[in-house]
Parts: sequence; structure tokens; C-alpha cells
Amino acid sequence: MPDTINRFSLVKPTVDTPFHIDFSWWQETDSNWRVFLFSFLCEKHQEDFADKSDSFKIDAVDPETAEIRPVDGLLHTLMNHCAQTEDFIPANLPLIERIFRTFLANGNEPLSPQQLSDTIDRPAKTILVTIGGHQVYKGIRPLQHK
Amino acid sequence: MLATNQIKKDYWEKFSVSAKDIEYIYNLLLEKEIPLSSEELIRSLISNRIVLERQEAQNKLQDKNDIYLPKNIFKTGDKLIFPSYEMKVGVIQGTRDGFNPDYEKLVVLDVEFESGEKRSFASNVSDHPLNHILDISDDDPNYDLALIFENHQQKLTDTIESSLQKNEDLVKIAGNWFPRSLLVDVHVGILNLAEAILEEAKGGPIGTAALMNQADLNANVDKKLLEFSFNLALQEDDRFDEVGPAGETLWYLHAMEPDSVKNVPLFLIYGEEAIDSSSLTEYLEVFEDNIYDELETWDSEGNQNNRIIISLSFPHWRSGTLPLSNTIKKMFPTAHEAPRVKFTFIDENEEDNFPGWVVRKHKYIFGLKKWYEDNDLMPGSLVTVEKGKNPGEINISFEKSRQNKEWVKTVLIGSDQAVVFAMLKQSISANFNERMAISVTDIDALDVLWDKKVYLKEPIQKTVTRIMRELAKLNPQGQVHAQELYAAVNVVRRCPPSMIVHQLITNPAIEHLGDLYFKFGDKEK
Repeated sequence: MPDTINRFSLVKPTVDTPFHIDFSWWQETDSNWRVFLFSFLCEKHQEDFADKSDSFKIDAVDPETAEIRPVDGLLHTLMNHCAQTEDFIPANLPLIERIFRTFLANGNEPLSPQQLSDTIDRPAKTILVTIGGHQVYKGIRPLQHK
Repeated sequence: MLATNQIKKDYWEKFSVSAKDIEYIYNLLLEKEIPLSSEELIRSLISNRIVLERQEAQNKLQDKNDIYLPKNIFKTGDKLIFPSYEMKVGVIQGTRDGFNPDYEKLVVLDVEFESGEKRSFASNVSDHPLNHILDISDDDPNYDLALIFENHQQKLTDTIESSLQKNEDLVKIAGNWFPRSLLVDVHVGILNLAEAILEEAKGGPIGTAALMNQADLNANVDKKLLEFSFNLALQEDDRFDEVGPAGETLWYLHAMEPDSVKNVPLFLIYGEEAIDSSSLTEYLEVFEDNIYDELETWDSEGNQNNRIIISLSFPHWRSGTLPLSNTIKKMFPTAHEAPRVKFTFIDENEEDNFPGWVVRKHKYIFGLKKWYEDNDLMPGSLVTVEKGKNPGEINISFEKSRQNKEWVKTVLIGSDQAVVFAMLKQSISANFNERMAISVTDIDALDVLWDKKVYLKEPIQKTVTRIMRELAKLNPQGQVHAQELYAAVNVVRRCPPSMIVHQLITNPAIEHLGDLYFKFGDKEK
């Protein structure tokens, strides 16, 4: 069987099109992307993970069953801890940065420009124009259904 | 969720009273030294059971060392039960230090289940929800007194009261319980005095406290206990009858109660054996809304109407009564134990009032004979009852007819005591149900039929057929509606709707035409 080809839709996104951070975009375009993400960690975790390799794993504990699942330590800690702190999304950040941090804070759950508009208090059309064009900023792309 | 440490879901549904429960109640009453209501005892007993069950659950915990809880420390070779995996058993194959900044002392257990499946679990983690799986939740409704009482009140009351009633050491008066051995002895002289006081008051009713006052009953004991003892002495003496609605104890002189309260009126006595009416539901549902019969159980007990229109049947019209069916009894005063409850009818048309009696055991309401006569009501007249402004008051009224005369089915008695029906123009005073309406011109002749049990002596099937044949003559098609037949049969003998329908559908000579219309088959003609 041929491998599934994951093409990006050519349909023009609207204010209701769901977007997310596409980490595969990061892998393809920036070999230092994990270093970039490391800078988003809080001070404590930057210290904790200072001597870890880029791709370290942590033993995530299932909140219901207490089963252990090895997960990407950087993303897991970033999304579940550091991005949950109160000052993770300061009000004076540029639009792209705020959108990026919003996705980190919500566990990269897909959001449409309309939904993002409610969260970051900017017009949905402005958000759509910024992240819906050909240029991909910080891996923020429309969600692709495989 | 682990089930072994919780009260089972149906614990209170399947509640039964143990010897220890009785002992607990007995001790509670001895300790309090005053009578307690069923509700107070039940609430206290439930609380006690909750405490005992919690203790039992805690004791069980002592034996749960083999349950996997993330807070514990384990070693290779330990055999554990995993509550979050359907209580599967697994053996620890190895342990290692885990890495997770949130759990600094995390130890990872590599576990192999009996099925061969391998999984890893956290240990030495103190703040994981799974650690509390054996705890009894404060939110569990099975441990919540208020919720238990709300959800299972009737079942618990029935079960507990039934057990207490079997205990001869406990007595119950007006909903309150007390050990017989601790009661105050009430001298027979006081009871004689009470009889005289009630006689003076034309039978009563008089409340216990007022009766105690007038009889000058005093003792150096708690007033509630003295009142309870006096109530018991009155209850165990046949001369007195407790006639108060629930929550109120009122005494009446039994000898001065109306005859129709002490004895079931002749017209309401039904001699047939009960039949299973479950297969008749589809027919009975079609009977009109204002048909209520105390011999039936199909009208809803849950009906919350505060105003009910009742179509009078001949037996109730003649007895001066109303049926105490499931729906109607919700509106009238009731009692915990008193078989007869006295209350007041308020005549809305005349702004008058007069006494009424709920005879609970035989399911009828007495006190309307004069009211029916004064207002020229007839069988089939529509009577409206609704709750009065004050507890123990029932408003009664009827809507006056716009026509003075109407064509009405009229019962005529032949010299051979045969019953004939004819459509005649009769004076009408109140609105009526057309199918139930029957004018009676010679009440004395009808009374003779009842007194001599002329129709009661023959099989019910014969009466139904005989009356149906008479009704069939009233229209060219020979069709008879089941409700008309019900009204007409009840002119000569007491019979509930289900028996009428049963006779109609089981008689091969009778055809059902639909919508409760029946006619005799061709052969019968």
C-alpha cells in the first residue's frame, strides 16, 4: 500500500477553519526548534532540564489509572505546566506570539480565528489574514485531516 | 470505582430490620424518655446504620494491602490487584526510578498481568486520585441521610413500622412510638370522665390536650409522655375512636358516630371476588375522566389536582357518600392509623358547612345525604370537591343546570321487581354526565330490591346481561355503552367498571363495536 500523502488543503481558510501548531512543520524547517521551545519553559524547568538532551522523555502519570507513559518531556512540561502559569501570555506580545502561546497553553487543541478572537481579543479577520496566508508563522497552520 | 468498600446501590431498597436495629430503637426511646414519631425513629436508625456501615468499611480497609495504590511502595515479585483495570491481578517484574519533575520520588513499576499483558505504573506518588479509591466518598448518596430519606421514605417507613408493630414491647399512637413498660397508668375513672365529656360535646371531636384538661388529668411526668399514655388508654378502650387527620389526635365517642360511618352502607357492599384488571386497561382507560370508583385501582394516586369533578353513581348518591378512590383520597384528610377521620365540608353554593367522615378502611366519604337531597341531585350529577382554605376542610359544590327539564334515562320498577329503563323528561337541578345519569322516581321500590338482595343473589353475569338487554331497547341499533351499563347495573347492585367490562368481553353473546360500545350478537337476537 502506498504511504498516506498528507497534502495541505488548497481551500482558502475562513474564520471558522481550525488552526493549530504543526510540529512537523517545525521538524522540517528548523533543526533547532526544540531549543526554541526550551526558551518557553519556566525558570524552574529550564534548570531541571538543563542537563537533559533535546529529546528527553519523562514518565507521565495517567491522572486516572496512574499508568506510566513515556512522553516528550519538553512538550509535555511546556504544555502541562509552564504554559499554564498566569504570566505565560503577556498582553503586550505581538499577535503571532500570542496565538502561538495560546496553542501551547491549551494543549494545542485546534482553534478557529473566530475562537482565537474571543481568547486574545483581536478581530477574527485580522487573525485570519495573519495566519491564513501562504506564509506559515511558527508552524501555525490549518488543521489537516488525514 | 471499587465496589467492595461502598454501601451497595440497592442497600436501602432492600433494607430489612435486624434484631440489633430493634434494640437500637428500644434503647433510643428509653434514653429519650419521650415518645418519638416514626419519622424521628427512621431518621435516627438510618444515621446509626450509616455510622455502622462506615465503621465496617474502615475495618475492611485493614485487609486491603494487596490493592494497588500509587502512594505505596512495592517490590519486585509483589502480586497486586489493580482496581482501575477491572481488579485484574498483576505481578511486579521490576522497578526503576522514574523521571517526572512533578513527582520527585516517582518509582516506576513494570507489571505483568496474568494474561501476559505488560504495563507500567507509578508508585511512591502521594497525591494521585487513585489513592482515595478505597475511601468512602462524602458525596455518596447512599451515606446521605437527607437523600436516603427523600428517595426511600415510603419503603423504609413501611419496613420499619411493620417490624415495630410486631414488637409487643412498643406501642404506637398517632404516629408516635414508646415502650409499653414506661407508660403512665391511666385510671378507668379518667376514661369514664372522658366519655362523659365527649357525650356532652355530642360525641366530639375533642383533642387530647383539651380532653386531659377537662378530665383534670395530671401526673408528675413529661407532658408528652402523659399525653401519649392517655392516648393509648383511649385507643385501647372501645368507647373511643380517634378521628383526627394525620398530625392531629382528636377523640370521638364511637357510640355517637353516624351508623354509615360505623357500618358500610348497604349500597356500597360488593360481594364479588376481585378480578385481574390488567388485561382490561385498554377499555378502562376510555372511561370518562369524572368516573371514580373506590373498588378500582386504575385511577392515579399521583394526581395532584386540587379540584376534582365526580360523577355520582347510584350507590353513592343513595348512601350520601363519595368514593375514596386513589385520586380522590389525595385530596381528603387522611391519618396514620385512625380508620375514620372527621372533617368539614364547606358548601360553596350556600356558604354553609357540615361534618364529613373519611372511612379509610372501606374507602368512602360519608356525610352528603342531606346535601344531595337538599340540592335535588341525582345519580350522574356532577359534584366538585376541592381542598378548603384550612386543613381539614373540603369545599363541595355543583354547577346548576341551565335547563329545568331534560330527557333522562329513568329507572322504573315493575310489580314483579323487574327493572325497566325509559327515556323520560325529568326535572334537573345540576349538570350531569349523560351516560351516568339515571333518574329514580320510586326510591322506596328500589330500596326493597336492595334490602331483599334481589339482584345480589343472582350471578353478576346474569345481572349484567339482564340490564344490558333493557338498555339496548333504548336505541334502534341496540347498542349499549359500557359506562351506561356500569351506571345502570349499579342501580340494582354494586359493581365496579372492571367487572362490567370483564363480563362484556368474556360473554360470547356480546360483540364489541369499538369505543366501549357493545351489542348482542345476531344469534342472541
